[in-house]
Amino acid sequence: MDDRLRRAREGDIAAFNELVLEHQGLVVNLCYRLLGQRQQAEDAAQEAFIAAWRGLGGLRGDIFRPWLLRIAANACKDELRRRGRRPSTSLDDALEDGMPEPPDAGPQPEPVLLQGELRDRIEVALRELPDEQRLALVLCDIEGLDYVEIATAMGTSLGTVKSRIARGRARLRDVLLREPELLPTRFRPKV
Amino acid sequence: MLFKSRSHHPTEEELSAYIDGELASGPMTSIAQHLRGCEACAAHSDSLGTTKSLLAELPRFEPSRSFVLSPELARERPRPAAPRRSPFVFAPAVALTVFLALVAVDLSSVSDSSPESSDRLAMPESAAKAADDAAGAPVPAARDVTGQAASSNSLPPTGGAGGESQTFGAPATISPVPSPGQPGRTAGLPPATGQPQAAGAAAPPVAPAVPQADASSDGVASSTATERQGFSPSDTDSFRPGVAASDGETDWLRLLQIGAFVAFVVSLVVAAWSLLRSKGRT
Repeated sequence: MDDRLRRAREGDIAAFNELVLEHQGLVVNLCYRLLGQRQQAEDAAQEAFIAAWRGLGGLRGDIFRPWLLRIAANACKDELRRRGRRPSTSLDDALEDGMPEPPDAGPQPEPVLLQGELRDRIEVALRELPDEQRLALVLCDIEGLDYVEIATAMGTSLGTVKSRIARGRARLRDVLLREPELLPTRFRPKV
Repeated sequence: MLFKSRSHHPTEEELSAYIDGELASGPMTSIAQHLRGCEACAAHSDSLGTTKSLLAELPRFEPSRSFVLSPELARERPRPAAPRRSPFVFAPAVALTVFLALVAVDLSSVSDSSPESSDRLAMPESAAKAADDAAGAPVPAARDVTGQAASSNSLPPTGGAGGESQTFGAPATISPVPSPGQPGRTAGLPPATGQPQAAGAAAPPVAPAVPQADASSDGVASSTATERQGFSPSDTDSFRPGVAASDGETDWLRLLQIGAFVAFVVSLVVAAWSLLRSKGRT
């Protein structure tokens, strides 16, 4: 077991904060993909870390990451429920909200291949997916979790995870293929 | 995985799992071979792979602040909840089971009633009501102690977890000594036949014979018990709760019963306290 996790379980908040620092990027990005707004994503992430700290006694085994992501996803669901609506789905909203900008300091994201309209299309298409498919797809394709971790994070079976990822991905693919001219050349389907 | 042969077109789910590298080596190889020979499936697979790649390239953002928790929050953290709470939660049920088992043993050893034991009914009011409540008295309206009856009825009728929450309503009534109300929280336990013995058990072993000065309180125990058994209050004289109190073995049994009952009440208080504590933190 991760030594930090063990110490955190014993009440060492400094150890827990080490885990927070390691996972906060993951959590806040997941929340952003689920909520669609940066400020709310950060609020949900903070809520998730507090809930994780308080609930650490209930964590079984050494599966901190999916367990934490599950708490974060639930915090986002609660937020969406409070709002009574899905994450913002209009392109205007997305643009108005301001897409996340990389900070001045720190490593830049990978060469930004997705710019402008294509990125917006993908963001909007992702937000239009059913909640469970979006969560599965975000965890798989954006956060890079494997199916077992995703199943743990979603509290469901491997079969369900496979199905949700496949359906979500196919749906997204169909949306993107409607405007193949937006795709980078290397991604355009061969005619 | 359903995909079995090169000639079989993989499903979308299989292709998706293939792209994610989430198939066993057998199906992975089979699909790879199939894709080499099937242009349609290869195009299909490519488009799904493209979608995955595009998602992976969405920009990530660094949070504008840190989410580390302040040391103040450390105080709010519950201790490992589940493992610690469970003994408290189940202790009342265990103590109650022991108590009931002792009552049952007592009952089975009683084959005869002796008139001498009738003075057992002349117990303090609190003990009488306690025993009555412990028996799950279903006819509280006929009683003088309506307050007790009402509180007993308003509680969930189960032991264990139900018992813990029950104590939230009236923690002040809980005491290590069999008191009115608390035993009532055992609602739903003792079978009807256990009432007389429960009454005897809840009474202190050397329960002073209260003179009939408080006739109504004495009547609570006897009339309620007899009502359930189809007796009229006037039949009280024929109601004999146990064997002769002078019997050494029975005295031991009484002591054990009292001990188990006290353990039940105490563990109930502890369980309620532990639950309240954990809920207060969440």
